[in-house]
Amino acid sequence: MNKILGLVTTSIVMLWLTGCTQKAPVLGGQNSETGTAISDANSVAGGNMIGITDGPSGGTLGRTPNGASEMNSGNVYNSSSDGFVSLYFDVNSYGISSDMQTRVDKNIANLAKNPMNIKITGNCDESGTDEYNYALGLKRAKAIKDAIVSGGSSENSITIVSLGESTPVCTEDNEECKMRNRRVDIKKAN
Amino acid sequence: MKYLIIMIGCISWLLGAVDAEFAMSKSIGVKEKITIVDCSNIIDISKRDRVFKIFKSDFGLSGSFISDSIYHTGDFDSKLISPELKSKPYLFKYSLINGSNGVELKVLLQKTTNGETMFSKNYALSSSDQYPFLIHKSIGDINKAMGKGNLSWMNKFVILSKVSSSGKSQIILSDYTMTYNKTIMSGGLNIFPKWANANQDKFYYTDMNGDRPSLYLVDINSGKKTFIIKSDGMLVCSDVNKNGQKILLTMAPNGQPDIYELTVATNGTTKITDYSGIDVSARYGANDNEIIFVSNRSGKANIYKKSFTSPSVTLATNYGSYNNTFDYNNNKMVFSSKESQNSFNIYLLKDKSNKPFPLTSSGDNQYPKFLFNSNIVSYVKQQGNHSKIGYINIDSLQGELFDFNGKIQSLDW
Repeated sequence: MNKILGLVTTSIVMLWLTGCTQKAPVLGGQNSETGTAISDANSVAGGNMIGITDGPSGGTLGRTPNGASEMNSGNVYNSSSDGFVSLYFDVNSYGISSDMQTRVDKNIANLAKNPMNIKITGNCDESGTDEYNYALGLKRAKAIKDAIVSGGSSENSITIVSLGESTPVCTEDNEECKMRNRRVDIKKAN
Repeated sequence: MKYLIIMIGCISWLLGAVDAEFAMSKSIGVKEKITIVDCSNIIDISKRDRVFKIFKSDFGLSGSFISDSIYHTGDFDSKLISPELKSKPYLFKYSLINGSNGVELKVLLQKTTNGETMFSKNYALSSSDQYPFLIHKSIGDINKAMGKGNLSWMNKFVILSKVSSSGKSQIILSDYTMTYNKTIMSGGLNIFPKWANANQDKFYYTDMNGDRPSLYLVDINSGKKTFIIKSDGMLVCSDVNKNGQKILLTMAPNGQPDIYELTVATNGTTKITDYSGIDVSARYGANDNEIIFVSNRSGKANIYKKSFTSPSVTLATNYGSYNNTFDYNNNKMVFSSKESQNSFNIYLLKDKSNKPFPLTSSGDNQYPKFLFNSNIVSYVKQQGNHSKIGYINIDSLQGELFDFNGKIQSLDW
């Protein structure tokens, strides 16, 4: 037992004197092997972390809901701009439902009347994982782009982007709210 | 009264040993029973409780020790061991003190039978807010000194994207308990952070603030941002290979989300999948010769495998019909499977076994991840607009769950 105690004590002293050899993540430009932040072993960096700041981002907010039945018809809400109207989708779907066709036609007409470069953004509710939802939002945006191109607009004037579940217009925990987030928005491209 | 206290103690111990969050009861075969004693005199009650929870979690997830949930206080320098602390073979004392030069931690592990010191060490750190890492380090040292294995995963940083508000996010560094939090990027929508190397000094992320999604590489030491690639539609760095020279992307140059491999040295890309539906979340499989990914080829999200040299695609698991997140390591796979509306559970699948083993039993549990080559699986439990992060030792089946202040968009180790 004394031998074990001796070995443990020796190990402790050696570790104390030499520090740990484990590779450390070094943050804020301070190398933990040469810095004074830590007196033993740990890979923790002290000091100043970087604080990268990027510019502001967009995000559109929809109108106040007026009722679930109107919501289901897709005729009430709109988080698009520049004369366009938003389009809504079923759960986990990127097919354009028949009751959205009027809105698709309205967008085609608006673009024909006011030619411009447009940005179509696809969005999802919070169900599922974000990476999958980014792809699902993209498929929705692509479906609307294809419909608009079929209506006679130039493909080159349209940019599509998915925002997944990152820009909800509603954050309440109910089905009506989720439905409002399963949408495609259209606006003039910058 | 004495019997009542003993009964309450027994119930507390049992509650600590059987967590309703986990599907299986825990094995207690080889774990050393230990009593934890706080000698810190921390005035802030919430911090005091947090420190105790971190020690308890570190011991539990080590798979080597099991402690009760009773909070004890004591004198670090006292040689006496009171009779009620002798019910378990080991006594662990700690003293965490904030001083003018940072934070100091003293730990002591003794045998309760004869008071023999098994481990003793002092630690110090100039940044007081990083005290969780001191705790993780001390328990890792004890585990190693006791011949119980390597707990270096506890010393690693978690990088995650936190949803701030609609269209805004922050990128944050944290310890595994989510106690240490450092925002390293804020403003706009910056998502899907992914460590670029094992040293955790560089990371990729997707910048959503321009006209199209852009992938950047950030050097944490210098703060330098390097543009990598831009894509229509979407762009996510899903995985980095072992030597950091290649990465797997989901991107959509023609509006169609498919999986690509990018060679870091040249920024050249190769298209790996070509499917008219959705292919996302690719990981490198065995020896970087194949990928495992999520696709809706069957109409719903599921997990598939594909060799780099063959166009054929096969299902990675026959379990369930909606499996949307996974991780793969050394012929083992963990994945989340939809059980019902808003209910996803984590399963463990070992190669050549068709029967997945459940690791969780309720809630919305996703993003399972093997932590390096350890026996720990992490996962995210979503509860409305808040997330929790859970850990399970797949050998001992001990688990812990930690609250996160907000909603996690994605995370990486």
